[in-house]
Amino acid sequence: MSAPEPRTILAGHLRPGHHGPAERTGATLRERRAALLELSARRGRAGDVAAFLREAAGLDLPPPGRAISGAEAAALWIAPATVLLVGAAAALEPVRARVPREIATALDQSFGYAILRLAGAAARAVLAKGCRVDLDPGAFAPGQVARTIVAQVPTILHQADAAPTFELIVPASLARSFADFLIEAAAEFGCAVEPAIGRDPG
Amino acid sequence: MLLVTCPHCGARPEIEFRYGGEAHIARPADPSALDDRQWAEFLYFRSNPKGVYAERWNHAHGCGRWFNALRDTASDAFLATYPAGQQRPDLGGGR
Repeated sequence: MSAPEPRTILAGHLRPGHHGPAERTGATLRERRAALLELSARRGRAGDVAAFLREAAGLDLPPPGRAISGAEAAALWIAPATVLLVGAAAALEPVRARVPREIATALDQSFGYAILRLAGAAARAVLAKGCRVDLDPGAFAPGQVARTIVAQVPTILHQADAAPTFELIVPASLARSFADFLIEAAAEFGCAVEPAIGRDPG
Repeated sequence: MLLVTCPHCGARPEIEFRYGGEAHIARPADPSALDDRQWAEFLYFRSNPKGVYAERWNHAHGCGRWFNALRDTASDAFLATYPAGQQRPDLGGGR
């Protein structure tokens, strides 16, 4: 008997459809399937991690509150000397396998978190219902990252582009109710749930 | 909304933070040399002023780091925040 296919927690839960007024689409919501790799530098080794990241993934170590996006993966600053890499499993697995253990710990978080993408003109208004970080374009711009609480859920919030598109990385165990919150919050603006993008990290 | 300035993340909403009691309390170098009274004072006795208080805070739902803050316990205003391990900053004006 073969092992079951690994599936993300939102597979089968986030069904494509439209919520709220049919004539409007203020926000679109979809799951993004991607691998997640957390790199945490050992004490005093942040410089070595920066060099490793540049060499192994072609990414610079992001400064506090920032993300650096490359062709195959993005590096999100989530704590001092700690980054979360988001990208296809095919791109991140070789990185994980090569992390020198004396400079950093590498944690595969692919199934520990779920990634949701919320985009559209109403995205800021939707998030404002559960998030206290100021997301006004003057205060929060593409490439910025905040680790905060959205609708009681600890969330890594990353603005991916100026559309605006927000990536919300939430603990897998809370991802279904979190997705339900987003749909509920976005329904008044017209919310289109679209098929997932990316590939299962398994 | 009360904003707390994390030394690593900047100004963030209060709900991301956890309180950690009074700052700059050094653990006695040789606890076994203390009598019960002195040990109890280390464990439990705090200055508890009305006014500027040096406190430990944890950015629990952000970067996860501990840092120190000077807060006015009468007004709840945060006067300064600084990384753990640094000396208490001088606010001037005798505070």
